[in-house]
Amino acid sequence: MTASYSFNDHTFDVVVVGAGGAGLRATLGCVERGLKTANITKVFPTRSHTVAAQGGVAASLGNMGPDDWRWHMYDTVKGSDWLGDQDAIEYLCRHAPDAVYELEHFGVPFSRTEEGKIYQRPFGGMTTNFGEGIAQRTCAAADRTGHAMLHTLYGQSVRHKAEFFIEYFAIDLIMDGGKCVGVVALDMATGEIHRFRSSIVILATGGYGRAYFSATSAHTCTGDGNAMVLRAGLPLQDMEFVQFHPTGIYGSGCLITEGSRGEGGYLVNSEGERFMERYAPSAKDLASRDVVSRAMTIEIREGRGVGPHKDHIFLHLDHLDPKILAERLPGISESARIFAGVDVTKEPIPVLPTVHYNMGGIPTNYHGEVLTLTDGNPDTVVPGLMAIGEAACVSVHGANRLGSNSLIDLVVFGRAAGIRAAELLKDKAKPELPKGAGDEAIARLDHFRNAKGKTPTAELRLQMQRAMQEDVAVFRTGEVLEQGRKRIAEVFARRPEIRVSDRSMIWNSDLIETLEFDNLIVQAIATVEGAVGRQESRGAHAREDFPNRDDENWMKHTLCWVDTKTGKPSVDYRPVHTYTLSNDIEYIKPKARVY
Amino acid sequence: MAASSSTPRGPMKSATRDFRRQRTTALALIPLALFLIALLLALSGADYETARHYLGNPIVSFLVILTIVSAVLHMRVGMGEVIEDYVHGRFFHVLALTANILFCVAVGLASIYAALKILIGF
Amino acid sequence: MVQFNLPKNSRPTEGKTFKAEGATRVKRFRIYRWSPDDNQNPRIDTYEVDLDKCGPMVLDALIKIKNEVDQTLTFRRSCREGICGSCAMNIDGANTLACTKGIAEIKGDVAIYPLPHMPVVKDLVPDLTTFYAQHASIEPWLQTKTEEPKKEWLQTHEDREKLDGLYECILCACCSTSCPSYWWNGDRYLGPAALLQAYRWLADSRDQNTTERLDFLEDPFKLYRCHTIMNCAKTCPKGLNPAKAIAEIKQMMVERA
Repeated sequence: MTASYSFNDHTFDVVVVGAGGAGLRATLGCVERGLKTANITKVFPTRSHTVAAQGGVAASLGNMGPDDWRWHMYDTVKGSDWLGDQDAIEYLCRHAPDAVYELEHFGVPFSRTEEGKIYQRPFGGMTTNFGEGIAQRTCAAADRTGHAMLHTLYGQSVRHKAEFFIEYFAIDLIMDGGKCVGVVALDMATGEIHRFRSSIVILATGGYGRAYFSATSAHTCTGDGNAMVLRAGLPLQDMEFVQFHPTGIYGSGCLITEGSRGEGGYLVNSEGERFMERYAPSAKDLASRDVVSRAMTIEIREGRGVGPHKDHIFLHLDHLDPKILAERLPGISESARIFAGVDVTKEPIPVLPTVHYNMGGIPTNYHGEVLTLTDGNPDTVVPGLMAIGEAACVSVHGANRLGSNSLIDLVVFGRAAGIRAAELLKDKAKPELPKGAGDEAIARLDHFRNAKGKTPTAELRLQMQRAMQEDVAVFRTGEVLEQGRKRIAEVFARRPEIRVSDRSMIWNSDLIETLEFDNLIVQAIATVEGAVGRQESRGAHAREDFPNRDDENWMKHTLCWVDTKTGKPSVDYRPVHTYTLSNDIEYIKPKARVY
Repeated sequence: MAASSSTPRGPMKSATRDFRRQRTTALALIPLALFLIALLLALSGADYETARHYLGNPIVSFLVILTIVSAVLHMRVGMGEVIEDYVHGRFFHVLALTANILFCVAVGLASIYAALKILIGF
Repeated sequence: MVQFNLPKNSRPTEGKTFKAEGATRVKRFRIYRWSPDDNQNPRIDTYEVDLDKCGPMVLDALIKIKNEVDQTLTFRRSCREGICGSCAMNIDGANTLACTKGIAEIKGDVAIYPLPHMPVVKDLVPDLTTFYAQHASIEPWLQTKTEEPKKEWLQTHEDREKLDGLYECILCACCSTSCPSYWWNGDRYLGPAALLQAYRWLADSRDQNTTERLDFLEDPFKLYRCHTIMNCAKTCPKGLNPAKAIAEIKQMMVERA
């Protein structure tokens, strides 16, 4: 350890890392239950990427017509291409309505129906009566639902006087013999290192969309928690499942909500054809995201893309009533104007499937407790460590997440984590820190801070992003994935070349971006490795050399460990939970997935 | 924000009182200023006795006093705003606010005394 | 008294120039730089950017500079689509979001400074601690007294519409830091952003603590430092109108008196 660093020590019952929807909901739950809780976040809470969620939050309230949580569960299972754990999915769908009512009581400004209830819109893959009709299940605050939720949850955290450590960058977990006992973080504003000792650490660090070149994700979506877990010698699960959102704006990659299709928008190719009718005769433009993204990719590939390079697709909203657009889709109307120069009332929006969400992440049970595979037990709980939100893989989204199921995931499992933390902490003594706790984190920080190589971080990051974009895309083949694996390994091998130019300890964003890159590259390794290994097509993982789902051999979760010193991955598997939580619904058996 | 029991109407505090006073005096000063201009135009070139005669008229005198009161109140609030904007040290802040009030009271009283003296002739 | 001139150690000096060799379409970015580590005055560095190899937004240029030219350039950014509010800064003389400000909108050199009148942490990163505390002070959450319904609180279309133009605020601080009154009295005047949010809860038909909320704002400084200068409405990158919200609060104050 370098002499110039020293620790500021803190002791808490619970430390939550990340202040997006899940992190805030968990923080709130812990504080409410009287736990001494810290929330560490690298951006001010309302700047977390939950703020960019648009379309809505799914819950079977039945405000627009009959609905049932079992229907929601069926849709989620089918959307997941049967890779989701059905006990967790039942937990999610059963608790969804109460979670939404709670949000409303917190103050979320939901749009309203004529009767003054929460307005719900149709969304991809959401059906009534086990696939029969189109459900209106997605509760919306215009097309700014994530923003409305995040700001409201932040307000509630202020109300409950949650203790925030804002613009603190979490560097690493403190592990002691397989148990998590705390976390080390850097205060970006002062450069001070803080060591948090806590009985429970809850990771709510989000996804790692920025491993790709073009993503709807924010620059800060670097999956720091996932990488911390890998460095702690624990596995990540189902990392090969990366969701491409059908409608990212061509060029900038900014998100256009699926709600735009929920409100009646549709996609056309260069021949003016509504091609989704061919790929998904009943759901059409509201098929689930993997299906639509693949259809768009095929259209472009077969020469029916629009634009001078025939490399994108048009999304039409111009047939909709301008009043409806202004009331229900004001945010994307603004985005389309700014980032595509398009007036949505008159012209179509140029769109392209864009990396959007990571189904994979830190394996957990439905309480939020992190799991690993040890001594043949695939459900071994890692004491002291929990994960929620996009960072976690519960797994409720399986191989493909349905739109508006992520926002409900955040609040349902954020709440579950708070409840579980309180249960676990009943008369439990705080763990002692092991000798030299946090030294490794500091060594890592110091290493990068003084990195004097020849290559700026941005160059390596770009090389990684291009490899992921080109070789781990919507459609995959063994050959291309193999190439991707090689390219990512090359980037990893170039890490000793890194140069950090800013040596300051105060707001050293060069250093932070380097730590983030170091986090991304190991997740890229896990992603490619999982994709190379999985020889079937399921949900977002579409192998052209293995075009069918193979339940016999592949109805299982990929677990991937990465030796973060050498970049060597190793893969094992966990069975999918083929049982539900209660007798209120039977296990939904796999069948062909058609929309 | 204390969670005190709710009454539909809160007490009128000084800040809102000042805000309202500034607005009402501003409104009142529109016709009053027009009246003042008309009066001055009518009296331009007139000798002392004529002016005194005019100002001795009860209606004119009443309007003049109304103008004085409005203007002084408006001046007090307006100057107070400027002081609150720009004078920051606690000591100078209080000093300036006090001086502002004293000045306005003095100007107001002197002007009203003069107007009354012309009207009643004491 | 109010200080009208910059103190000596805050006056910017001319800094370095980074040329874009071989570029045909060059735009010059003149960027405020200040590091807390050396006892230097702030400086203005000039970066030439080849527009043929750069995205359309000012943030694209900043990221390009950071990636390829000068890794020490420091600024906040996250969503790059105008919803997180991180990259608020003063561009071409007005506060706005770097991610939604098109480079083509700016004639001549692009001058970029941190949000005005805030303590600078480094380069374009201001310290917003007070700003956040002011937002927290208005108690930004739903307050009710009657028993909560089992389901949602009902709210009519019309009542919900009253929140449009209020709830969309992203707390970027462009408005507050463009307000001269906030410059003079930023410690006691809540500023347009916090007041917009105060009104967002006053206007919410579900909220039952109107009286307490108004009592809190009844103060010569918190609310009444607004002099309808309107810089807030002019600069808001989301097209909101905090000045109107403040006027509505004043109206409520007068009406309840």
